[in-house]
Amino acid sequence: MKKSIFILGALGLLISFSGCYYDNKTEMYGTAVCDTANPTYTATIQPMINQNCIGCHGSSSPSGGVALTSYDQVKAVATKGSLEGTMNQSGVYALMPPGGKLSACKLNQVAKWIRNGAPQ
Amino acid sequence: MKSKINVWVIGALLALSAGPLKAQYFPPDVSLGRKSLRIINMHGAAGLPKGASEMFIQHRFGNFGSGAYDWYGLDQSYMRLGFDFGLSNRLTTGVSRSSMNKIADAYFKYQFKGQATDTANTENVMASWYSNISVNTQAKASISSEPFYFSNRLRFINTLIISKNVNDRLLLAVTPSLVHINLVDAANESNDIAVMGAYGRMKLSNRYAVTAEIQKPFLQRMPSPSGALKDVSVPQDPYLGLGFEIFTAKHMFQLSVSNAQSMNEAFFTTQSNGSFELKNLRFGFNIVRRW
Repeated sequence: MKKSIFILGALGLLISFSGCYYDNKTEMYGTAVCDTANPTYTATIQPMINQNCIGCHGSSSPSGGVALTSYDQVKAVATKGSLEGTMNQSGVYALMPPGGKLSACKLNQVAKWIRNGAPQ
Repeated sequence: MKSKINVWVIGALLALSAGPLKAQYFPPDVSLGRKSLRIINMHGAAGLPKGASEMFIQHRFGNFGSGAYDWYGLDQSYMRLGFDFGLSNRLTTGVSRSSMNKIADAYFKYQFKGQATDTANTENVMASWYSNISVNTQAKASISSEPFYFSNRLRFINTLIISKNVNDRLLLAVTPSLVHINLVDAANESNDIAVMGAYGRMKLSNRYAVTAEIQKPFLQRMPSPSGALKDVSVPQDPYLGLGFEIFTAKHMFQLSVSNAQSMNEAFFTTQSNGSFELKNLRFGFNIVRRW
């Protein structure tokens, strides 16, 4: 029994140490550092929404009655102020997404997109 | 009104100071009626006895701010289902799966001080090393671009848990941790995050107890293998959870209010959970069954 515990422990340590990498998306995939120049719905906002929001705010019985599946729907919440409100947890809005606030870069892109009139 | 509050404060102080520690040894967490490995989200210092197993179900609902349409968050829920097993009186291991971010995780916890068989532990201190690996099982596209590596899915957390019974009712613990994220966004972002935390548990009776836990990253910059100091995005508000434990004959129910919806240590300790305001809090519960 003692031996098997030792082997298990050693295996556990081996996995924990060998699985450890120091990677970042910028160097690995050449993702642009933070492009806030001219964010558009199709190029910037839609991929962000698909990755972070659509799980709950999809087409079938969306959370809070807020669906974010089309440009018009996203633009509506953007104009209303609730999109930025929830993402920044300002005013009466609770924080969204619940898995943690988005990166400063993404928040800047959303802000710029709304200031620019939410272009498609 | 004011005098009423004072009565409560004095009552609480009396309860805290009630009775010195009993002379004979009993395992600290057990002495407080502990029948669960977890406090709310965090692991406690105590492990399982050899051969014992535990099954737990955790639920975290949407925030109270989502309003009556979503019944103040109860319409949205994430759950986590897990199983723990005591390999020996010192070593506990377990696996779980959480619907939040589709995380599967495995851990081992080595209790190097204060296990149930240690009758010489008169200072009632327990200490454990907790090591967890979590795998994000979402589709590749939602994690990173191609070429995709399996390592992109992994996060680790190592925690030193030191708990002490202050008296027969109160247990306090500190939990310094190191979180490692294999793939981060920016080149100047640190893969390692140092987190400091604590938890407490106050027994009200043999059936009821109140708990609290707090976690927050505390270093703004961390060294990387290349030698460069990299930035840690330290959230403005800490993760904070308040809990109420109900112990029945066979089960432990842990009701909680917290600002985190994630239940995996490597996530809720480091991410920005938002402030501890009513609109941003959520109800949650754990159901624990031990055999």
